[in-house]
Parts: sequence; C-alpha cells; structure tokens
Amino acid sequence: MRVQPVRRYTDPRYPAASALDTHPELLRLLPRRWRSNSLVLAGLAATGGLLLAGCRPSWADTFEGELKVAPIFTHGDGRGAFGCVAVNPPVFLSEEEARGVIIEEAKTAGIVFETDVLTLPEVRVPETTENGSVLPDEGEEPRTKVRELKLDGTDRERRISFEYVSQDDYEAWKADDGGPMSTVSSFDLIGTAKVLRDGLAVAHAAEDGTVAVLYDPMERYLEDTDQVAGGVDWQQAEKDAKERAKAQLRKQVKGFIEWLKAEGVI
Amino acid sequence: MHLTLHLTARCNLRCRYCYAAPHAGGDMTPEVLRAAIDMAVAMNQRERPGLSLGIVFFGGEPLLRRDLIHQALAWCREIETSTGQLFHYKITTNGTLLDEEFLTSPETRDVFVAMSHDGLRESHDAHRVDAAGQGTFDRLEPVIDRLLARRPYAPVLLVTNPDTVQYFANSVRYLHRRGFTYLITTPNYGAEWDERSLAELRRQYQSLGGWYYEAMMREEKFYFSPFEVKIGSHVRPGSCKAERCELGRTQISVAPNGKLYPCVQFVGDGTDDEYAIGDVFSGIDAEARWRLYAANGEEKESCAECAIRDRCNHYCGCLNRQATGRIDRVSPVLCAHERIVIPIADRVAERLFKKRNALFIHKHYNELYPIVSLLEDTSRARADMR
Ligand code: SF4
Ligand code: SF4
Repeated sequence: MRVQPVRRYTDPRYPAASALDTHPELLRLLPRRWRSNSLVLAGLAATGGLLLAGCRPSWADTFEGELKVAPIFTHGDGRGAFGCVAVNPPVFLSEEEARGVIIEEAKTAGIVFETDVLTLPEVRVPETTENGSVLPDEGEEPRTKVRELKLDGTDRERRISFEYVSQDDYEAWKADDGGPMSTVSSFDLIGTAKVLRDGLAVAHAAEDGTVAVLYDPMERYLEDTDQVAGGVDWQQAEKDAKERAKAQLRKQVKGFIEWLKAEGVI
Repeated sequence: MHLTLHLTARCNLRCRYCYAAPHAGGDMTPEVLRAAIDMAVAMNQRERPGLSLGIVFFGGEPLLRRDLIHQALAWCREIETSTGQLFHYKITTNGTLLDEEFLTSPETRDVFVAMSHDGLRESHDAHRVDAAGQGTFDRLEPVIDRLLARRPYAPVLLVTNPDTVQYFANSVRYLHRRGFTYLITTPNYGAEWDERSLAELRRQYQSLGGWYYEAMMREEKFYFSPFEVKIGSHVRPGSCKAERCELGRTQISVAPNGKLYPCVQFVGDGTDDEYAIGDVFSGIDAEARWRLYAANGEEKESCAECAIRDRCNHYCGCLNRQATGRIDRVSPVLCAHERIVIPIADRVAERLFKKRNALFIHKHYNELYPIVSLLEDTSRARADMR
C-alpha cells in the first residue's frame, strides 16, 4: 500500500465560513428546539445572533427545493469506441432524435415535456474523457466541474424533468486536458449519466421537482460482426441501429414512468 | 495547553491493539507528579498567561492510581488558590474501574471523563480483553449507565480494526443509542489494512453518512468526530492544521518516570530517547521541542501535490509515528482513510446544506455554537432537575 495523492478534488457544494460575510442571514435559521428555548434565545440575542433576524431573506431560503433524482434505467450499453481498432462502432442518437422519442413516450403517461423551462445554476457535472471510463476507480472521486445545467425537458405542472446525455454533452463536458492522446475515441455515456445523477442529487433547486438522467444507448452498427463477411449496407445498418437505440431509450423512459408511479409523483 | 500525566504504565486490560503495551515501566512517583504540574504551570503562565491549564490523567489505566489523581487535584487546587492559575481536568479510562464514588465525590466531580469502548460486543470483545483474555463488554454495560447518568456528555472513544471493521457503523449506532452524544472514532492506523478491509471501511462510512444525515435532519445534537473534523476542514480552511496538538507546543505528555514527550503515542514505557523532549526535573528541552515541531511542520514530500492535503491529517506526526515509526513518514493507511472519509463527509454536508439544515449551519458556521449549545444543555439539565 502506498501514499497516493489525490490529483483533483472538486470543491464541495457547501460554502466556507467566509460565506457568512455576504450571507449573514444563514444564521437566522434556527433549529426547532432552540425556537422555544428562552435561555438559548436570550443567549443568541446577547451574542448578536438574533440581531440578524432583521436581515432580508436571500441565501437562507433561496434553494430550499428538493430535487428527487431517479435511478439510472439501464437499457443499452451506453459505451463504445471509434478508431482504428473499432470494427463495429456505435451509432449516436442526437439530442433532437432522442427528444422526439422521450416526449412521445412520456405523453403516454400524461407527462408533457417542454424545453427551456428549468435551468439549475450549479450542478456538479462530470468531466469526460476520450479514453476510458468516466466512472472513477474504486476509492477515487469522479472528475467533475460545477456548471450551469439547462435541463432538456420539463413538465411545468408536475415539475418532472429529464436530462438526456448525448454525444454532444460528452464533447461539451470534456476535461481541459482531455486525457492522454489515443487513436481510439471512446465514449462512456452511461458512466457520464451516473456521475451526473449523483451531481443532481446534491444540486440546489429553487423548488421541489423530480428529474431523471437518460442516456444514449449507443447501439452498434451491426448486431453481429459476422455480418461484415457477407458485405454490409452501412446506411441501412445505421438506420436499424438507430431504431434499436430508440427502442432502448423508450425502455428507459418507461422505467422512469414506472418509478414516478411507485414514488407517487404521478 | 494540556499536560498529560501517564500515571502508570500498568493496565488491568490487555487490548490487542494497545500502543502503551507492554505494560512495564512502573508508576509515577508523587515527586514526579508535582514537578510535572509545577513545570506546566510555569510554562502556561509564560506562554499562555490567563488561560486554563488542562490536566489529563492517562495510562495505562489511570484509575489504578486513584491516589495520584487525588494528589494531583489537591496540588492544583492549592496552586489555583495561591496563584489564580485555572485548571480543567480530564481522564481517559477503559471504564472497568470507574465507580460511583469517582463520579460523584466532591474531589473528582469536575473531572471530565472519556471512556474507551469499541461498540458492539463482536467488535469490543475481539480486542478489548482483560489479562485472562476475556472480553470486557458485559462489565462495561452498567458502567455506561453510571457514567452517562452523572456525565451525560462524556465522550466515548472507539477504535476500529481490520478484523472488526464490518461492525463499525453499527457500533457507532449502538453507542449513540446507549446515550453517548460525543463519539470519537479512529481506525487503528498501526494495523494491517488491505484492499478488502478498506473497501469495507468505505461501506461502513457510507452507511454512517446516511445515519448522520438522518440524525441531523431530526436535529439531534451529537458529535461524530470523523465527519465533524472533515466538514470543519472545508468550512474553516486551515482548521485541520491549526487544531493539531503541534507536537509538544500545546500538549506535553509525561511518562511515569518523568520523561517528557510531545504526545501520548510516544510515551511507551518512557525509555525512548529519540522523541523525548526533556524531563520534569531538568525541564523541557526547548531546542528538541522546536526541532520536532519544525520537522513535523514541513510539508511531506509524498503529499506536496495532493489536492486534499490541507484537509488531511497527514501532518499529524503522532499518527505517523504510530503507524510508520517516523513522524515524517506518512502512513498509507492514514492516506487511504482520508481519501475515503473526506468525500463521504462532503456529500453528507452538501445534502444538509442544500436542505438548509439549521443545526448543521449553526454547528459548523456559528462560532458561538459551543456557547449556545452549552446554554441548551444547561436549560435541559435544569428541566431534568425540576
Ligand atoms: S490524502 Fe494521502 S497524499 Fe493526500 S495529503 Fe493525505 S496522506 Fe498525503
Ligand atoms: S485499556 Fe488502554 S492502556 Fe489498557 S490495554 Fe487497553 S488500550 Fe492499552
């Protein structure tokens, strides 16, 4: 066993004490027990703690909403590689293609997703890499960066949202150093979805809501690599792969709907 | 400043991980005891005038020499009367000799008592055994009741080992259920941890993360050292380093034979000269003390590039020495532990902050929390008396 320095550590999503300089009203929140304890209240008043009660509300009650985050519904590998050794590369579903599938499937449960409704100001978003897994090794922290995240779809009335992890997201969230150079580009969308899910679980939201992270299933061009030997119509293969991917994505949405029912959200 | 008096090297137990073993080296004499207190008073008045001096009774098992405790208390009270020097007292005991008399007699009533206990029977009896090899769990059951009835805020000290780590979370829960609200836990850094036991330790901390969160949401007042310290290290950057014992600067340990050491881990049977920093008769060796302090303060090469080094305990020379035999060689077990506990503590804190949990906010952000908390305890004690 060795001493193993931690290379990167994302700043935790709770402030340092210096935040009190700009948000003294935080201390205005009192534990329930204290509110009815005259000795404690007298002590707080004497030490200046309650003088803060006159402060205008801001941080103390800005982000009190609870974001309930669904588990990842695993349908589709969500992983794959391009490059010289990748004989059967994956097919991606674009944001638009996926949105169509998700909106349609959600409608069957009466959920109406709209775009541009909900933006979360600070979410711990994974930093992706062209090489290998986004998930950390056992005992390591995932690489993340705190970013603003506009969710891909929200049902305003029921406050149900989804975020679809696509190839575009993967590219946009790449770590600055991108990892070591390689002749193979690999994508780990399912790992990205898992890390994002954990980030959403501790994200601040103004109001209560429910959110699921869905991901591109990344179906392969060919279901069976033996097909290569007999010659392949690559255009048709891509079409077929997309259909299979859509079917997998539909299953993810169905899983989400069942979970919403079990949780009593719908 | 704290003066830790190792009143005796003897112990009635034979804990399998004891760093004070073998229990040779005899007892402190009354002369050494007095000289140690006089020396500490002079130092305290010089270096921290006006501040209370902490006297810690330690061992071996200090209750084997109750007579010395009484002598020390009487001597301190005399000094208090004649010089105005204030004192506070603490004892760390295995509990087996802790009786009603010690807890209630006017002489010892204000001695703060910390008790060692490893939690569930499976965990406790695996290591905390008597000279006959018998576990001491059963013997301590009535002691816990007695202790908490008289000292409701007494801390409990729990050590987890690789072979009992699977009981860690439930042991903490057990002690909390038994009424301890001040839970100080540590892995046995000197033990042989491997990948498997460390993975189990992670699972146990994760489970404790859920327990901590729920208890905070219920606004239960308690202290669970690994999380409090690590959360504190983010909330108050630098606190981790500032709170260290500073190897002989703010705490001195006195071996039964009068030799001075920078921390309890170094005392052993009082024969080690490498880390000795003087003795009670010739006084403290200021040069040795500062040399140690400076050596310990240097950033460890192994940690210089680490992103969490300011929040990590790697600077604790005492722990390093316990695990690796050298103050400047960081223990890989300590390193693994820090890498496990810091992210888990952070996730719990993030959730509590997100919830704007008032107790969490006051506990970690309100500098006056200890005072307010004391007021709350006082009002509760008053209510209990009515
Ligand atoms: S986590 Fe390990 S490498 Fe980092 S500072 Fe601590 S002991 Fe050193
Ligand atoms: S009670 Fe303390 S001194 Fe005694 S054997 Fe156990 S660990 Fe060592």
